[in-house]
Amino acid sequence: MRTLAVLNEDMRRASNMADKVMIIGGGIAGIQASLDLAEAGAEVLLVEKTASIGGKMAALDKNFPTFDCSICIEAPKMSDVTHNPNIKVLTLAEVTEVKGEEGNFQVTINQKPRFVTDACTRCDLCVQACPQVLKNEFDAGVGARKAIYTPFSQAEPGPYTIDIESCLNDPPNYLPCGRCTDACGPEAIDFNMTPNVIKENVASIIVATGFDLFNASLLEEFGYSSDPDILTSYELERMLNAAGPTEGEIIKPSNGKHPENILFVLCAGSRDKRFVPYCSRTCCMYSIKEASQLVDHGIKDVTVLYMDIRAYGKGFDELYSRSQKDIRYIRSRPASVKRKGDAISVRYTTNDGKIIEETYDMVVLATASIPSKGTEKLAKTLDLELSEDGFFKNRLEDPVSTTRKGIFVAGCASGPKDIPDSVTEASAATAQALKYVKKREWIEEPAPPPLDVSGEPKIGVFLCDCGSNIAGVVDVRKVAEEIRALPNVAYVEENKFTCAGSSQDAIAEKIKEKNLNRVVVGACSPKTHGVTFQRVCSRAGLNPYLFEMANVRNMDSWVHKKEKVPATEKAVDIVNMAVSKARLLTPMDDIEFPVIRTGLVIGGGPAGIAAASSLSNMGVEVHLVEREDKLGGLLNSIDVISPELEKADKTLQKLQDGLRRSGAIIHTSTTVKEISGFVGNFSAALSDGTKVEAGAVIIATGADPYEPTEFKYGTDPEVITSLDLEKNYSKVEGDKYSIISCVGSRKGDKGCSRFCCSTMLQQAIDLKEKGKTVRVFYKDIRAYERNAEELYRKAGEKGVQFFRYEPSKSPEEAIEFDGTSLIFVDDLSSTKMKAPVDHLVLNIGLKPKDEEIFTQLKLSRDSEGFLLEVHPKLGPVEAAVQGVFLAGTVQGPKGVKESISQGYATAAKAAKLLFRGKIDKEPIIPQIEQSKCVKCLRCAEVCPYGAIKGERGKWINLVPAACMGCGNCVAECNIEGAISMPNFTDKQIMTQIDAATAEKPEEKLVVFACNWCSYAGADQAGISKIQYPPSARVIRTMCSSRISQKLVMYAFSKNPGAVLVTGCHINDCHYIDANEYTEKRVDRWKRFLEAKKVNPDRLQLWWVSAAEGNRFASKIREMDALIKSLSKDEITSTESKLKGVVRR
Amino acid sequence: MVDDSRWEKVTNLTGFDGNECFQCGACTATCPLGYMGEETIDTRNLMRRAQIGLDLSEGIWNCSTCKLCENSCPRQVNIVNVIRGLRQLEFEDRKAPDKIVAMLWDIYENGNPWGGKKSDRSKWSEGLQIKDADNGSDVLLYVGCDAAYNKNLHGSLRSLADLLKKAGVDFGTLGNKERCCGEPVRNAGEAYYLDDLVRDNIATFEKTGAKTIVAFSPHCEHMFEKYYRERGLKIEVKHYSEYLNDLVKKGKLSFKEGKTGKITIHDPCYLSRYDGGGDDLREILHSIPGIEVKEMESSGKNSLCCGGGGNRMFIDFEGKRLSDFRMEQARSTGAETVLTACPVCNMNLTDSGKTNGIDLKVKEVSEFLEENVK
Repeated sequence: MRTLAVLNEDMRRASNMADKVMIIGGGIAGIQASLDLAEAGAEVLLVEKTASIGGKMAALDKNFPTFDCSICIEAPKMSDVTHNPNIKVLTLAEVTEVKGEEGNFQVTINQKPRFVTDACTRCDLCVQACPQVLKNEFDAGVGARKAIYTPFSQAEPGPYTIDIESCLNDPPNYLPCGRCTDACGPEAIDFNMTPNVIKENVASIIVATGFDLFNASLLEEFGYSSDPDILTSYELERMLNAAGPTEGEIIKPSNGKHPENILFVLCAGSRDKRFVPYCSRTCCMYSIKEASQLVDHGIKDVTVLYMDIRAYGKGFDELYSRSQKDIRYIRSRPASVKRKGDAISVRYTTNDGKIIEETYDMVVLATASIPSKGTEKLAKTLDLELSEDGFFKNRLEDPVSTTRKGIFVAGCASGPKDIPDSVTEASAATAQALKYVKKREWIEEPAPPPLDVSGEPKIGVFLCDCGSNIAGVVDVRKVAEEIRALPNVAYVEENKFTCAGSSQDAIAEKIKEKNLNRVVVGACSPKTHGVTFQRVCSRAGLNPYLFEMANVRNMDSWVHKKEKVPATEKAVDIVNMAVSKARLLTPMDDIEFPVIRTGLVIGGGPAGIAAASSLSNMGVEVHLVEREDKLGGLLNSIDVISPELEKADKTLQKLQDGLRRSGAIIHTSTTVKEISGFVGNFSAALSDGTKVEAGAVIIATGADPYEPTEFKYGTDPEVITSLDLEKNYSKVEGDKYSIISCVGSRKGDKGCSRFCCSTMLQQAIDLKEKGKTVRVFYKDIRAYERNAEELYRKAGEKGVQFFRYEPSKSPEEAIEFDGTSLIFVDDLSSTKMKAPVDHLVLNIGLKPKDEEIFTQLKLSRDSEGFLLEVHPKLGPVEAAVQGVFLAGTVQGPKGVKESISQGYATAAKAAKLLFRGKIDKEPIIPQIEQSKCVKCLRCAEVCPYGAIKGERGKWINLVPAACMGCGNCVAECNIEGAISMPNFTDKQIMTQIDAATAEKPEEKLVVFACNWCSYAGADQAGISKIQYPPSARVIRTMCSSRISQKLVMYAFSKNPGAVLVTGCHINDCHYIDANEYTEKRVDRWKRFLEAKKVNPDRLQLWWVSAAEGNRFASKIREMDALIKSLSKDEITSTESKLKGVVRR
Repeated sequence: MVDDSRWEKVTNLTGFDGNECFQCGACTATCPLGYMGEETIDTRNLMRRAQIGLDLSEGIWNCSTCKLCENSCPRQVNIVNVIRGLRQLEFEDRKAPDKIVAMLWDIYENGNPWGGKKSDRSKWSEGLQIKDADNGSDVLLYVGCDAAYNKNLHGSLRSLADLLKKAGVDFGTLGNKERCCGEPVRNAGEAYYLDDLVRDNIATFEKTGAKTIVAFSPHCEHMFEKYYRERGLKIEVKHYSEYLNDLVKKGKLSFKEGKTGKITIHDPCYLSRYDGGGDDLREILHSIPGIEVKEMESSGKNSLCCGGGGNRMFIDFEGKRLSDFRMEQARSTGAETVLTACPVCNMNLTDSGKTNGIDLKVKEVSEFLEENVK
């Protein structure tokens, strides 16, 4: 936190700087919006009522369905927020007044004093001194805190805070306590701090106040308030967390013993007319996730009682079906949950009418999400309307709008939603808020003078305990001792959490204090935290390329939990490898590229229209290309948009009016014939002859409706699809309609199409209102959206009959159609039934399209064939290819409102790229040494991007902008010293091999891993805690194609047990097809080894995707077994066998 | 086969009430009959059948209409109403149990379901000189069949009459002209006769000119307040516990410091769940100085049924009874007396106490109050 003096100075400066946007709420939505806005050149005022930003996401242990460590992916963003000079964070602050209008709001904010200044070093001595023990809200009251505290280790801003209400110094202080003041070395505690009233002018406001959890005590029948072993899922989440109150141990709060069986109860408070009538949308998935984690914790009997499993998102169904082999799912709801002796007795009914009474050691209630405390008051302050559900009101055609111009809403403030939907809305709200930001500026903190790094390397090593994540397994102190003894190591420090803001500041200080010129952090994965620490170096004036990371957590402590000694030895090796590489690091500067300030939007459905109009409204030139002769995509084929119940034509009209007003250039009846280029500089040839040069491309080409062959569709005229019905509402004939859901969805690799349940419910109601008998056949009613559960209830009220067919089967397997009736087993009553039908409506979802531009832009697909986003949680609208953004159903099936949100979100992402006008690129681009190069052009031939130009024997040149940095060219080159790859030089990799094989090489497995898939897969094995033998030493390169014969033979010359080359699966390579070269090379090297009488099985190639932690671990197990089967002689003779072929 | 014409009939008879049910099954597992090991009802399945018009399953006549299932219903389905609708369908299909049909004939012929004579209805009040309500009185005391035809409850009725007199209330009864309120008819699914009965009763009540009907049984009180009200009854209706509580609040009744001993309260379903929690009952008891109330595990709106509602009194059930369990619950509180304010509860608990040899007094609240009144 900045001190008040700095704050006031900021305010003075503000008058002639960029326009400001105020964001209320510092959860993940507020954080994402802050970053998007700041990067687009707006100034941001982030107002958070608690002591730290981070919100609920910071408290979660893991995210579904990826099992990402929640704080690990959020903390870097939190730290980015507090370090971004465009963002001012006000914690312990509340907005009390808003005057004025859009473009110029005058806001008043009350900020409570923190009583701890920025001098705080988070040493925790004050906490130990404080006598007041209180419930820790962050741990849902399960854990304790003191009156002086920090909510969690990674809290931002960093200083501790005093809960003055509970502090013994709270006036009237007859007995002043002062223990914390005495304990505080840097004298950071200041009881004289006073509340602060801040007045600011802001152009726009984003409300991102999140949600709170339903009070489970109100559900009397579930016994929450009377029994400690009945938990809420939030309490369990904290218990699962290694930094939580039980340090990740699952114990019964009543007696501290390990539970043997656990029951989850879904819809605790949600979908319940007594409490929260709507669906809370995330509980099904977080419960499946928590249940799976419990199975991983060794709890054998995990049962889930559910009403409908609403696994509507990408990869959700996959997780659900995977989990079914370990977890028992029963469709029911308990009548009572209460203590019976040592256990908790639960009574429920099964579908066949049996009453079950079972006992469990623990029961977990998936409590509903409700509007966050203070929502009503804030609505009044901001003059905004709330919906019946108590959340802020928004509109279909503008999902982040509120009832007041210039004020937007994002995340759970407008209804429960999961993280990707929240960050999408955050970006969408950014796009809308940016309309009011006329003056833009990127405040640059004066860069400290670059440190002189020319002398001998002086390496500072910072070793993270990661709470107990690392220190619980690895003897970090011992590692520190060993590392301290290495040459060039000038300083070693152990941190509880190296990534915490205060630790970061401490690293920067140490760099200056100890004149460090290289930094190594031994913590978690460089993929999640590398950039964070690089920034720390930059802030201290140290070139960020003089930083190296050792992945002790994901690749050691998490995967060798029971082997503490070998894990500590491995940690020494891993850190030594990083230190060795650090010695050889050289300073480098990012390469800057210009960005063409034009946006290209491909596809003119709702997502594309939203994207184009929003971007155009910000003053960017935008081309919107639509294949058909009119805009609107599938909106043209539907009558009513559900669950919002708006007429599709009217909504389309509103969207189109907005688009016309925005001034975007519209190309209808036009296709993109060809597109090429890279971030900032794409070039597209349109079929109408236009050539568009654009800095950013938004793909919104949509998806196709599924074309059924099931149920005699196409041959029986009485069988129609839900889409056919939309077009023919006016002419529905006959009396008896049956709608069958999930036709073509949720089977094999086809997931849930997400929007169709709402459509089905609306169609059922409509038909019912037209006087028809309506029967719905479903698996799960996934009415998860705002207003959708209400539709479900309404359909019931109206007399729509619901039948659940056998959920393990596809509809065509579960339901027999003989032309006049349907024969099926009704799962709800376990009875075989026959129902007459005149008209059959097949409720269909979407299937992915195949467009040539996907290949031309090298976009990856997910398992179903939709375009793959860069990160399923925090990067839902960005493609892995920089400068390309994904909007709408091209990224996965979704409803109209969600598509529009994504459209806006991509506009914000494009805007921050285009406004800035330039991008920085990592200098990981090969250097050709012209004097040594013979211009054979073998490197040019293997370059996947054609980035190397030349003429055989004459000249050669590399185009930096086109190069993506795989290193395939370097591995292909046979001429020593002719081409090298900065940051991944031969020498750097070889020194890592040296360090890896320094001790007991014959027991070691040298693993080369590519940055994108296999290294991430190895990370994933750690995240999933999949245990494997501690023999592997992983060396990361950008691509497997960087690994050359020289490196492999060098590795073998060190007499390791074996060498494993890993990379992305074929067709998944992040450098088009570079890994195909790896495949050919490894094959060749194996033959080479064989010729040299070295067992070729000791070199293997293995493809691992980022998600395949298990596949990585099982291969290591296999290789370890191989090594153990070899004789020591065989291994140690390798060096001599390879004599003469190893280059150094 | 899903039969749409039958389904239409069912949905009409159940007032569409079952449609909203999403088949979670909490009702079935909540049903106290199941807890007792008594022949239970798969309530969820009944709702399912009401939703799609299939033939009925077993158990429809077992329901005591206690409404405990509705407490935990997330969709707040009016389950008992659906069951009544389904009973109507059974009745129309001539599938109602013989004993129920016989009971209806008793009401038709004698104005009560117990087979008593019309002329015996006012026997309880012999010697009390209670006014004929037809001659005009502020309050019409509606006695109800259960107490009028059960000698053991006559004392409770007399106590109530004494208390009313003591408080100076101008009240009368219909004497032998009083007829059944129709609750058993409603729960038997005989809709047509019920219409006649209710219409006649409303006319009889309104003719008295009384301002308030005070009902002895919560079953009758509920019938008047909810069912009669929708069909045109204008007179204010109160259960006696509420009416007496009003008198206490107005200072017309007060209690002496009694040696009441430890008591516990069995809340009648029709007071607690049907009409909002049994607050009056507790309030009036707590206005007795020095009273010591030990609450049972299930009380107030979570109270357990005595097992006598929903016409179960007219059918024989075997095995352990809800009232047996309830008496054990009462005993485990350590109380000496269990108080209740419903003739059905009173009969069942008393009987269970006797059969199981539980040494615990079962007492009607009216009697208890009279013992302690100043």
